[in-house]
Amino acid sequence: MNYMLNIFKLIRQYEIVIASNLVIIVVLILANSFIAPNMKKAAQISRQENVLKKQLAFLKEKHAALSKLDKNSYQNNFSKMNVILPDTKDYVSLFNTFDKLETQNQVSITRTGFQLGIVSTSSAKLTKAVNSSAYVLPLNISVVGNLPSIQNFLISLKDLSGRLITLEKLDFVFNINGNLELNASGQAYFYPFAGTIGGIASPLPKISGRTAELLGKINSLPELSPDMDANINVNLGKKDLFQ
Amino acid sequence: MAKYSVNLILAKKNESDIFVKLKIIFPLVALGILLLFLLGFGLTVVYINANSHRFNQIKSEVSIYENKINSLKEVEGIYTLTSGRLNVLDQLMTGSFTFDKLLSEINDMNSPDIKISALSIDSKGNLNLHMTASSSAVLDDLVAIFISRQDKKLFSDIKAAGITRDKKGGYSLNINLNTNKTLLE
Repeated sequence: MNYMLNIFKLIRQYEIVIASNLVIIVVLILANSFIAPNMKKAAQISRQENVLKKQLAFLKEKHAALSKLDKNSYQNNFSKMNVILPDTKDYVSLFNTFDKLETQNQVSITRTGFQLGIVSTSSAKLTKAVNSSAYVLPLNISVVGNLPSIQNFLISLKDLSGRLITLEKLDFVFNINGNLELNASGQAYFYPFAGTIGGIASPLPKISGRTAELLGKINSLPELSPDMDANINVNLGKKDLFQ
Repeated sequence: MAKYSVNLILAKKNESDIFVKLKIIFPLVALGILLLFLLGFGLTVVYINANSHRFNQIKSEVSIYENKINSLKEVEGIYTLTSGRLNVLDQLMTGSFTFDKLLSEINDMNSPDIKISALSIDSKGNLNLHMTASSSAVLDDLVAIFISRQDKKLFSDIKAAGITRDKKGGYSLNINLNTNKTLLE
């Protein structure tokens, strides 16, 4: 009993100090429970806001760049590029290219050879070109003509007027009548389309420098002519032998 | 009767100076901390509300621009594919050769007395020629021609092999050499 009385006496004596300390402790606990989480949340919002601001600036720039692009022009150029570097092996376009080269350059293409397995099947092993992502179609070709026409033929292979063909080895035979016979081995290429293009947040690639020059050259190429075979009627044979 | 006196005045307790000061300081500190807490809490609530509002505004702007870009996805697709193919084309065309300058250079050597019957060239610049010269004097001229080309750094590492002489005094030979890569472009 005396012990309790002594304790009460002490509390009465130091009541102001004790009460003040209690207030301080409670306030510190409340600050830890309310102010600290609020400050963390405020810092988080500030960080996320900075990220969003950067994202917004990027999206505005991308939208401005996309809005300036001429869709029709790029579609036309893309079609022309697909002739030069198709997305599939497309040996038909190779023959079209050879026909065009013959006509334009006054040469005769006497022989063309492809690795048939690579050209006609999808099971053959495909090789990628050195320093490039395009796939290779090996070919060899024999051409006859005079020197200027052969030179024009060689230049035409690389002037983007048809399928891109590069030559690795050339063997010339000079005939008595002044004509050249060229036997060359080289390759054509194809480049499949990418499976995905990239999301909204992915940056636009830049077309500048050499690629911009290349695009300019492709842009200046004549428009592709419509399919010449579309309206040709081909007479089929008799369906009935006894007619 | 005996008189009893009761002293109603409480005896003054003797308190130390430090204790007296603490009795003033502690309440003030408590009051100060309480006011700081209230101020701090109020400020954080106002700051969070203001920032949340701004954050939501920016978020809705981002969403608007994402929708705008999504509506242009066809253009983006064509542009991205075009760019990819241009890069591949550039890679393929860089380092590929047309050989037409070399042909012109070789053809300049052709004359009534010097005939080139065969020529073989590869993309590394290795050149093989089969030539005929009508006489030893013409052969000398041919050697001089090759030496002058070598001096101009168009040809290098020139080797002649398989030199034969026919009954009429003409010579046929094979020439192997390396060409300058500029001739292959």
